[in-house]
Amino acid sequence: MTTTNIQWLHAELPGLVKAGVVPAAVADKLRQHYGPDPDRAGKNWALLIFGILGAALIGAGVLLLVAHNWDDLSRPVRTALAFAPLVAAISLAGWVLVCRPASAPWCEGAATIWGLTIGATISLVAQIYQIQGDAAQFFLTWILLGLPIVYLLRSSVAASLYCIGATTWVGCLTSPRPLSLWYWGLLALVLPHLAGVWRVNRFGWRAGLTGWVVALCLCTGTGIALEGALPGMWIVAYTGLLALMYLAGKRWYAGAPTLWQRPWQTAGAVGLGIVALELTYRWPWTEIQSHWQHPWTGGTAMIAGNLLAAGLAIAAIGAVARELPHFGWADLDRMIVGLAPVCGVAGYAAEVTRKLGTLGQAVFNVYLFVLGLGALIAGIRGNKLGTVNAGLVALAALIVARFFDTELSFLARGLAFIVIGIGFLATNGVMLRRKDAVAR
Amino acid sequence: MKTRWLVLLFVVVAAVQVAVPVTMILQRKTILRYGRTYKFRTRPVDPADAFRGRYVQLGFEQNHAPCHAPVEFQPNMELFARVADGADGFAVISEVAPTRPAQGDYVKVRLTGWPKDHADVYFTLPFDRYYLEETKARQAEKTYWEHNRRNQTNTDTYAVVWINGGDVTLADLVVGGKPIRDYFTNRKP
Repeated sequence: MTTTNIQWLHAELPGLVKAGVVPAAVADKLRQHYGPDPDRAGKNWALLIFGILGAALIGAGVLLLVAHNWDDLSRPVRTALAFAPLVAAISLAGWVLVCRPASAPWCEGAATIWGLTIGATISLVAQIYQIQGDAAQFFLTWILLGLPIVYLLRSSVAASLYCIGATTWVGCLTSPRPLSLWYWGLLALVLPHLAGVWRVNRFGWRAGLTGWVVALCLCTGTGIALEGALPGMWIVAYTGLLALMYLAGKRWYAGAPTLWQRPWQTAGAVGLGIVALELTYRWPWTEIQSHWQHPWTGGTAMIAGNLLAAGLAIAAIGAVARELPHFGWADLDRMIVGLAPVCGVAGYAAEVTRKLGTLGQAVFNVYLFVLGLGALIAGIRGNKLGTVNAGLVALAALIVARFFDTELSFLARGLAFIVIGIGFLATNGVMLRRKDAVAR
Repeated sequence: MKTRWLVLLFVVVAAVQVAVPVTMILQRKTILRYGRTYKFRTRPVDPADAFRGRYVQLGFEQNHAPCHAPVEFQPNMELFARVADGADGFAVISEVAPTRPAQGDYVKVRLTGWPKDHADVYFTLPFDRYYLEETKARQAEKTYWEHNRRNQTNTDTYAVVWINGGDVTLADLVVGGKPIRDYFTNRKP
């Protein structure tokens, strides 16, 4: 049933009950079956967004007003003002916890302002008293102090800010230190909240927001956290991680109607396309043999980091291998994605053992071609224009990359671009005509 | 029952959140009470990096010292620099080491370079920012620069730093013989 129909039903039911056409019990069952009035849900959503935005703007505005005459104030006054936002945010959160614990807009708004004021107070105190410290230490203190907010107010915005903060922390570590491996430990601390959100409604806004944030944070933070591992291990780690993200998304979010509700498979597929394109070049493979000095050599951190990278690839390969006997044509995408870590591990092993990086490079040229072609076929079969275009983009990226790599004439390059362009237009034209035919 | 536990947890969390910045202030007060003051002579810094919004980026003459202990150097590694007063009244870093000195004042520094043809290693001191209100920071940076020209012997521009064991706090920035804030209190904004 469409959103409009559900709205109509909710509007009609009171009248029908009053007229005695439908018993009240049946009306309640209908309401339960079709869910809440989408119009009201939309209003709640708007209230939530404006609540969060309003809270953040008030906090920022107060800070700016205070900053205007900052140096003219005495140190005790400045200190009191530095603590004021935090104390106000704590008071607001306390009131919400006692009086509005079930209101998502209140909880999310209070959690956002509370989380942000922790960082503001610490940095203001540091500036007032000329207390020096590094950025990584500041972010770590901030997020650890803010973590309980996630659970006290059941806030997904606070959980998202925490994940962004953890990724910023690992990015601020000044050298590839073993400490960066704690990145996953920090992320694991919000897992109970995320698991709860995903279990209650994995297609809701909370799951969408946290899913996108965690997926993008993992895409960014994994490489930084594993910087001190063996050169080139990022190939194994990223092909494994992105494949796992896609496979998890396909397994648990396959029925999601919008892109916003499919963070894992979208981030996994786009990321895999980008990584595969990078691996069609020579430089990632030659870098494996570079002997730059790194601090993890021989340490337990290096073993843990490399095991983690390898574990991601093994988990992705295992996940595909387990379901391989049941795969059909409809699972072609999962099969191709599952091949990424296999290619990554094979290419890495070939370069490390035999200095055959060209093998890995060649494999990923073929792989990206297969990935693009697979998406194209899946899109055409499923009548999905977005997937068709994604496949075409992957193929076009591969062709363009190779054209700038090789010494072909301008004429040949020009003709190839024209052919690719015609291919895009023709495929889109055919797909649109097909969609029109289905609609009719 | 559940609400009671939640409220209890809330009170604990709020107390810890307020306690952290309060501890930062108390630590500074402890250094000022039990520590001693050193004057670190400043030097010019890269003009592209000098002004960063709400603070003046400081450079120091004492940014290199010998390291006698056998160390496998890595960029940004933490070292311990022994601090003492020089004959001219300014702070001197006599040596750096990978371990904390058993006695005397020291500061934690970050290694920036270890040129093969030099006896000394290079590092950054942990107090390289002097915070000011945004509109004054640029003016302060200009004033700082006027007193930190290259090839100029600098005798009246320095940072006043308090050290207690290994705890450090920057107390003041003296430019041209007077605290930098005096440049703004005597001028109209």
